Amino acid sequence: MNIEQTAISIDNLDVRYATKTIISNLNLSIKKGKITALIGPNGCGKSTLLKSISRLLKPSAGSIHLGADIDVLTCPSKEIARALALLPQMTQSPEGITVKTLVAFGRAPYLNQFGMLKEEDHRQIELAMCRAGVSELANDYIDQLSGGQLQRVWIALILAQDTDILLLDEPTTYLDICHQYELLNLLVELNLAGKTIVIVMHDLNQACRYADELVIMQKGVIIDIGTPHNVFTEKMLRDVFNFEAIVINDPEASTPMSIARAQKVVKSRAA
Amino acid sequence: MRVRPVFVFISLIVLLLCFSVWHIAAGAIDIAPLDVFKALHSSDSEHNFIVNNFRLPRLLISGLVGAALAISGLLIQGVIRNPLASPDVLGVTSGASLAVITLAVFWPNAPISYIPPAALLGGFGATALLLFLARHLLQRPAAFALVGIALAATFGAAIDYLLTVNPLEINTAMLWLTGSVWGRNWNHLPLIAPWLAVLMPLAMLLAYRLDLLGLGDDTATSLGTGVKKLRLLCIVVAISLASAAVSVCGSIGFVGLVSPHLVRSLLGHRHLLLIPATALTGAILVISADLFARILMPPIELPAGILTAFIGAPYFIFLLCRYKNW
Repeated sequence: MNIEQTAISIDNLDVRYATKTIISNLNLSIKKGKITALIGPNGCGKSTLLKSISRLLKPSAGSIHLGADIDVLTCPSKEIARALALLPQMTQSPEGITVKTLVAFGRAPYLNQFGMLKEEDHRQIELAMCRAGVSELANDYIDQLSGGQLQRVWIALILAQDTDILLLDEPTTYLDICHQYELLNLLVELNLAGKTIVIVMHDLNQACRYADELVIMQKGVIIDIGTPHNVFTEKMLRDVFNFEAIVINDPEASTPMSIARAQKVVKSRAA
Repeated sequence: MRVRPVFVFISLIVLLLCFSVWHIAAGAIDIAPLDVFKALHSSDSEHNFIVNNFRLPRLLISGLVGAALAISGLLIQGVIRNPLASPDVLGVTSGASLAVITLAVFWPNAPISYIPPAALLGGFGATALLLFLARHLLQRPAAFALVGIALAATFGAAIDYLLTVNPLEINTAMLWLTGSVWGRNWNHLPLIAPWLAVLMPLAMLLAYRLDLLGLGDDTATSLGTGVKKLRLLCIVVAISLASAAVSVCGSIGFVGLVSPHLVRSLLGHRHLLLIPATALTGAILVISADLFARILMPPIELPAGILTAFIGAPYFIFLLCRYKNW
């Protein structure tokens, strides 16, 4: 355990919207080089936690550090942007720009006032588009892309940011099922290449299959942390999600998965 | 319909030059276009006096006012991210108008030179009030704009009240309210030129960060942009430009709304290009408006503000009909 390095450490974090406490006294360390999934019912604070880490929300107390020395709350914004990239749940793009132009914005933390791209930036942009599999789309206008393609382009943007840590807020939400798995597989490839990935997920079975670690949240508190095998239990689903289900091993990947228990109405219809 | 930026800039500059020459040439005494150049630099030309004392300063002021209003509109649309946003919407113009009308009503004998500072004060006062009332809404651009609209309506009501109760100095006031460059001379140049000289380069410095803001607050923040500070700075720059323009010429509408839309449809999203292009477009719009205001029904001179709306509004409808992104 002590050999494993910490990518993000969060201490005594409190986050409030006006007077409502969303997260209270939260402590968490996210391991370097792993895929960590934040799961929990709606309103549990998982997106809020992600937003606090990425400076979109200012915590009312506590501290967040990247690695040993970057203090998220005090460090210059550009410096943090070179260490940590975020793909928000809702993205928006200006009208009529090409894929390459959009991806190039990922270099912003490295550029001067006027955003002039240097040779190294062009290299990073090409590399990012290649890794996200959108190189052939480089000169296409983004309004012509499918949802799956567009999401890969946004992945290319955060890759161009060249950070060790990637945060993703429900990146598969609006995608067709085939594009969901395509995207998740891409994240595994990036993880194998060394990225630390933190991802807010809605689909529990996908979280179990793809995450090294699950962080289970409820009402602004962390209930449990661990590998899917250790923490993804029927009792947890009942207590945290109010979800009656059985947990079996996924026949494809042998990670745990949940299957909803059939209620009486369903059974009687089947009979 | 994306065009190479070079062509856009060349066309805009050519257009600006043509309208400028025509602007100087046309009027009660017609001057042949070639004589315009002669009159500009040789003091023994017969037209030298008219050109240098009346038409040239008026041309320059029209151009600078147009540029200031257009940049102001571009910045405001950029940070509010709403196609209908413009300096008029945020209550700057009506704040300035209210100050001028108040001056005319309560101090009818005030020298005419007091009008620009009063307008500037009114514009900045309206801005300060807006920023104070909407200080918690800076992260919510649409709500911020709505507070501006409400303020503008309040100022508008106050203006109507003052004009109804005191129907005295209405003529000067009306002329000012519709926006006119009539009778503007060299003395008015220092009221607008320094603002533009300082604030336009500042806007160019903010240009790339405005591009980033187009990706949404979340992405802009995670790319290292201080969104809140940027938005505040842009609003202050935009409103200062609009106040300065309004203080010289009254409320010339539509320039701040139309010019940014036009250049965006030609040049796309890069603010570094959009800022100079929109400034040129605004200048062309006001210069041509003032030109037609003078030559359409001589000897009557219409206020340029009426013409900008006449030229601007139909064009705006045409533009929006072809424009699918908003």
